Amino acid sequence: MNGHHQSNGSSCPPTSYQSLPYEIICEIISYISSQGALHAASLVSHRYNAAANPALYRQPKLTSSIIDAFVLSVAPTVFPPPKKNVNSREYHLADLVTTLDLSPLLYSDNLRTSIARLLTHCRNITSLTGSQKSFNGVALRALRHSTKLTHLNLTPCQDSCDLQDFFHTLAQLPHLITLNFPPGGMFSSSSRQSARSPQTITPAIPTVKSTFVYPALLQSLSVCGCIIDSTILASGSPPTTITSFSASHLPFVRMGALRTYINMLAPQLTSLSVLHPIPHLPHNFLDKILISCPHLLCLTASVDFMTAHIFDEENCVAEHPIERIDLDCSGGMGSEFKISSDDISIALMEGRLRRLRVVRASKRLGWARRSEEKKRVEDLAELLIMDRSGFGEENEEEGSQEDDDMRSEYVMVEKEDPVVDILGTDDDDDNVEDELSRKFAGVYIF
Amino acid sequence: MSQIILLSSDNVEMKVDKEVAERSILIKNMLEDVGETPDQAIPIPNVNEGVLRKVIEWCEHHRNDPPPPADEDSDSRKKSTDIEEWDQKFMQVDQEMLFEIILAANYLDIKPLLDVGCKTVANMIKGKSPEEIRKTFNIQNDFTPEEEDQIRRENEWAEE
Repeated sequence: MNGHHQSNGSSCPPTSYQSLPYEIICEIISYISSQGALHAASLVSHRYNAAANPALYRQPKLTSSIIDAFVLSVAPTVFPPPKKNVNSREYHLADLVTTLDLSPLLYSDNLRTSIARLLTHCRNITSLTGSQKSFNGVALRALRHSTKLTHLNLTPCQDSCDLQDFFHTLAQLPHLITLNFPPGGMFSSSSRQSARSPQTITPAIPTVKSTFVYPALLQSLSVCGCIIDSTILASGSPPTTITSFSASHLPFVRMGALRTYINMLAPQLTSLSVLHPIPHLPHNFLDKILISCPHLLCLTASVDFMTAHIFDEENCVAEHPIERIDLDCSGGMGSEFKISSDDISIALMEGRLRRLRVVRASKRLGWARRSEEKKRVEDLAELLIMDRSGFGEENEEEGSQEDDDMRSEYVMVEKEDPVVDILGTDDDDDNVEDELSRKFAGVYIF
Repeated sequence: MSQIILLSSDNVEMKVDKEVAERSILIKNMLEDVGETPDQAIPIPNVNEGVLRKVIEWCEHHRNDPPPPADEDSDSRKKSTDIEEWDQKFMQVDQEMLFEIILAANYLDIKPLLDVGCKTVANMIKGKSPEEIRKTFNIQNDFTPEEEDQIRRENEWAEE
């Protein structure tokens, strides 16, 4: 190690690494995603530390074995220091955190207090995923400090939480755009509260009767788990800002409640997802959904809740804006035969759903099992990539143009190198495919 | 095909196709400001002959590349560190040249070349200890023992 100084290069080779400007070091660091490598970089020099620390703390990959050390680092005291005290570096570290994913954390005695402490300190968080255990009580209430939160995913959270706590916390999060409800049950009886962690920290909670207030900017709402009709689905009219709604795994919700709720949202939805198991939904629950949701762009649904009639003339129109349909399937008896690729092909050939570009189907639908079925899927893929503007009219236009960039699955995977490359990386295959199908027309089997 | 002359910092003139030189946004903007192809050499005061030749070699090979996508919102996403084979070979140079190329690409505003350079350095950092990184890139450890100790403690959770 030669001791040369960073500011003047006279005594050292003009190209020593120190002479790279800070912005370029940041650029280099931006290509490093491994926590270990960022850790090493943070210990190289002041400049490296300044570039690597934000990347290291922005989106920490937490596990049960490191959570205690992490909490000690970003939240060394119970209460965050007063804002003006910026001399001490610890407080800066907490400010660097913008995304927290607590879902990998396993249960431990102090998990709830650790989470509460983290949330009390890290006030710049914009995206948070809850932990499976202990995301209730003080941990849930500490969320009110995360006033910059835009995405809140509580899908992993299995512990029941207090309904009032929950909505009281929501009321403190004015910027929330995405909200996934916790699947664990929610209770509103005040008798349960006394059994929980001390109430002294919480401000007075409004009475049960009041309608729940959703964040004003909420766009995406997802419900699953032990929610019952009366809690969310009957909690009053949903915010008019919501454009995306998702329901899955709802063992206790009855059809009437869900239908009412979806109908309330229908005119404003661009994305709707209804996935099994929802035992109380009938086999044709979604058949009229394209009529009731005139602005829907993306539909994700289990075929358990729809029949081929959804593609009938009276249930879908040529001008419907829908671009993408994802079909899942529980694999339950008979469900695999409910919708075939031909059902969609026929609708397309008759000029309906002209904007539809992507169809994804679960393997369980059996679309590509035998070779003649495969052929039909390829036919559908071909239809999807065509310009179908003239379809269904008396004199069909000739030479519907075929875009070379838009190819069906079979062709695409062979031809497009990047696709293969991406699939080869450590990314979750499902996500990659998800991303691809947004760009490429065709049929995807998942 | 019109050609222009570039003048390196050590006063060596190089003739290149205009199209090739215009991979550099700096030069491209300069030429647009001037309006017509200049007869005189364009001085590139920050880049010496060896580096400029190397940079031109890269521009020659990538003369027909489509312009990079303009979307900057991919910034927060995990960036790929894949480097195409030709670029990998191109970057197999000594440390000094590597940084000179990066600095030149930055100065001349050739974003794709800058990216390749940064990726190359990023790949060299991966898997190394702080001490190995300092050695590899000839960086001075400017922490006091106390500072280093504190950072080590704070960032301990991230150690692999």
